[in-house]
Amino acid sequence: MKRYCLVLLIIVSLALAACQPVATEPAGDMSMEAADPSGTVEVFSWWSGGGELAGLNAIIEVFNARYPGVEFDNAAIGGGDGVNMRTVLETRMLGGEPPDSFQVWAGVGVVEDHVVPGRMEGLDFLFAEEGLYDVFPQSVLDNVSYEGTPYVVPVNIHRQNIMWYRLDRFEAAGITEPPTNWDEFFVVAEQLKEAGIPAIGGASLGALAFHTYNYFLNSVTDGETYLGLFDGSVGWDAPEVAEALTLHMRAMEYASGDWLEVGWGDQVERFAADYDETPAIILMGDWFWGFIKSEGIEEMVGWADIPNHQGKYVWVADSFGLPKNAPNRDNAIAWLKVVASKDGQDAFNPLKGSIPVRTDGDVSLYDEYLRESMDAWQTHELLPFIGGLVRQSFVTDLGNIVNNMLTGHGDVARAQEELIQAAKDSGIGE
Amino acid sequence: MQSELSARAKSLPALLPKWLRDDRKIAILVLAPSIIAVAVFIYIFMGWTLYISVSNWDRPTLDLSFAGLKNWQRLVNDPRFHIDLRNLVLFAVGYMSQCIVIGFLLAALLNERIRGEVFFRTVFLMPFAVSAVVSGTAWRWLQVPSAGINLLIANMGFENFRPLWYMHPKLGMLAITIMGAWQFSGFVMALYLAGLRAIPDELREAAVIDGAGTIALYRHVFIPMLRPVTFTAIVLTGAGSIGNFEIPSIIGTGPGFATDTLGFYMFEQTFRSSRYGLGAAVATFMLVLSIPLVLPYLISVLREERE
Repeated sequence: MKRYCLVLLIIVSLALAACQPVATEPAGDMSMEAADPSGTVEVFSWWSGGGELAGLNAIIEVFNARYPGVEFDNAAIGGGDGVNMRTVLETRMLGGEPPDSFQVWAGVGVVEDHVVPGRMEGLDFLFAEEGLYDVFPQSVLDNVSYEGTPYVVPVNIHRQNIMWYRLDRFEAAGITEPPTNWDEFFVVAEQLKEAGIPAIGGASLGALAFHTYNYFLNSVTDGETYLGLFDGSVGWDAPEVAEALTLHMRAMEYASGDWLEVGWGDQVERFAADYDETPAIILMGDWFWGFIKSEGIEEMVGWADIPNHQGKYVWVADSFGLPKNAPNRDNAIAWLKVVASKDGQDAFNPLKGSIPVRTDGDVSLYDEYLRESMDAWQTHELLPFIGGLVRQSFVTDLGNIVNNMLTGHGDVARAQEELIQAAKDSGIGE
Repeated sequence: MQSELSARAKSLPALLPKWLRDDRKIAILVLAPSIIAVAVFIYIFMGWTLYISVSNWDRPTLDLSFAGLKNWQRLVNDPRFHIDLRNLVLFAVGYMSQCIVIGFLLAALLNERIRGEVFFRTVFLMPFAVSAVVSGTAWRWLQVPSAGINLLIANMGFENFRPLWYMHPKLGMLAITIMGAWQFSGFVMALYLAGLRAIPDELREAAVIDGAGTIALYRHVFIPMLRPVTFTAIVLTGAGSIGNFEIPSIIGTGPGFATDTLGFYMFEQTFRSSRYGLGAAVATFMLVLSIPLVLPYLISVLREERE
């Protein structure tokens, strides 16, 4: 019997030894960087197609030219807003095997989800070394920092609140000017309806419906109220919340009859083509500009402020961070340097359809829309996008609650109750 | 040559140390790694999940402090959970009945030793080899109310008949069962066909001599004899119903969560909202649901083995 036990013990200990995670390499010295970096660098992003991929490839080229010894492992995982990438990232983080660097929206989301749990390295040394404190605008620096320390390097600025419209559809309905407020919008929408044209593009978005809700929310709030909803100084029982929900529902009445049946990707494809269901207007961030260019339909498309959004620049910055225990820390830092660099940002952004975070970007490289956006970035009220203001759990809940209202029960009061609960649940204002 | 080999085989135990020459000891040694792996990766993790479901871990920061039934309370009060339970019932009823009935009918037809049996068998089994993501995407397009099958119906002259399929706010789940059944019926057919082929010809002949027609033959001889196969089919399709995740991840959760499932709800809570405790509660609930399904099966298998 004793022998059995001995054998079993040996087996158990062998099995346990086999289960031990591979020891991670010791993190390199803070300031020291290998003279000639080699090896690989694994970078997570959700850029897997279109202008996004072209931009990513362009910045990878800059990286390869600067660090020829390092192999760039592009671990991009597609899926709108990074929903899929985040799932994989979460699993890797929990398993103690982070990638070397990963894409994330700057803001409260990354702070709450990654910085506070102690998963990220502070990047003060990098910002100082690369002079980033001087070339990034203060509003961005505030947004990427937690308790004074920056944690992510933003590579671009996207404007999230643009109204895109098809010129030919407007013309067909006898509309000469895009609507500037929602009253005008509903007049225009009726005109379009009479002409048999859906006024607004829509889709059953699931958790992504928070995007569209954001447009309506910003139409009925001032900047202070909007920010207050996410820092807890304004409660979600505010009348503006219900007003935005009502507006959202009312606007969707002017979408094509089958809007619930199609995905957002289908809706976007429709906008670029000529179907009966092609909407005249689509509300979307300016990542859509990259799509418009890749389809070659710039001539057919106009853009303007979303109704009641005049002077507001809702922005989101794609950023990259440095997880603790990154297996190739030196290479990750090299990557972050490229992300922060002028040539890196100027290679990436014209293709991605976004503007550089750095204030010294080369304006001549950017097209008409992006130059206009660069101007607006200087003159408009800058409001971070929801994804940068609040924890991911609230973003997901908000999307699901709004989507459930739009596609299911249609009860504004119930949706607001659920939002109040969700805000409490995600610790807004704690 | 033969004798040389057997001589070498005989000498094999002699090569082992004395304490290993016992068959039982070798058996334990060989089985130990899998037993340990199963214990760790299945049972310990089950217990771990159960514990997380009563912990306070509802954000990315690991927090394993005891929360009591907080997560469970939240789960049973969540309207989405109620919808998911209704969806589960709809899906299980539609999916299991279709798989079993269609699978059985196909097997019965093939069992008549028709010409081209191999061809048809392959055709029926083919969907099982297709990835659920691929078939889900194809079915999604087939069932889009504004196109797909509805276009076919409209072209046949029934323009006012326009089912909403998976977009139906209450019964969307039933449309989804068609996708699932298309995929899995072929496998159930293979199960039944194997079962039918295992029934000795003498039985059939005896029944025919006794005057049994085809229907009586199936009703009184084949179906009762195929009970173990039906049992297996129920367990497999039942487990598939509980664990359904792929379909909502492809076609979305539908209007008012009409096509949401427990699996997708668990995924979204855990990985998109970092509510690990709540996600673990859903996982545990799904596990408990599957016990009444698997337990009778296990008992019958054990009983058979004993006999």
